[in-house]
Amino acid sequence: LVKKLLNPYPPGFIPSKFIDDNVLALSMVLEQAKSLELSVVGILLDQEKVCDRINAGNLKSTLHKFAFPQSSLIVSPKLFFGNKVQININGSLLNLSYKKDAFVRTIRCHLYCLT
Amino acid sequence: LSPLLFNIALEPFLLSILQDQQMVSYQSPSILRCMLPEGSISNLKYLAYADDVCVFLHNQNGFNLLQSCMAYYGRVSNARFNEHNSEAFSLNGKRDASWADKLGTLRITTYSHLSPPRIYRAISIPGILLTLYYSPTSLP
Repeated sequence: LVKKLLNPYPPGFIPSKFIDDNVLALSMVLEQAKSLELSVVGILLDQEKVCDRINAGNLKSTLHKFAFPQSSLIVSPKLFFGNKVQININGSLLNLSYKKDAFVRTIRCHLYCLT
Repeated sequence: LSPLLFNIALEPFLLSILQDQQMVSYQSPSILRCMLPEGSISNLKYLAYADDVCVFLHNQNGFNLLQSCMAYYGRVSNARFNEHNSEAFSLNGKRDASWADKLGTLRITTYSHLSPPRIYRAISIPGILLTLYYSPTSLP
């Protein structure tokens, strides 16, 4: 469904879209620009803490523009914000509530302990 | 699911670039158009993967328009672009003094004319790719 909603140049995270496609495309573009001596500049934009900075209200209104149902508007932002993770290890439930940047490290530590 | 949501969150910014009629698009190589799904690449304005967005600009007016898109998107979404971590590169392999001046005033300090940006450098194997796609025997 998401693939149909997005423009034909989606930024990944969908089936059959790989970064290799972009590498190939850029290689072709570079070759053509060199052969035709096109004065074109490419700018690779860097976004600061991109996932952490996503605004909940903006995400909600964007989903609304995409005609997502009201129930999705309530549930979907919770996948980004206010997450709480619980890990069940042999019936023992660990409650984790960390900031996102610490979350991955924490999960890794627990997985490492499991191994 | 969150990465899919991220796609949707970024979509307004990408659409603002695509739909800006004044921002000249890049006419992609015909060989590339025929090898990718129909409608996926015709006039190329950017390449994006995850949060990496690489925009192609024909002139400095395009850069001004891009800045407007970035500023507007930043205001509504809380996104922030780091100019000092962004990098520019010349597609034809030649350094353009006017672009260098323009980029310098905008705190984009990296302007490369010899190699593509870091993310593509890190994963690309240009020799192999170009050999594959320019070899007549590999074409359909």
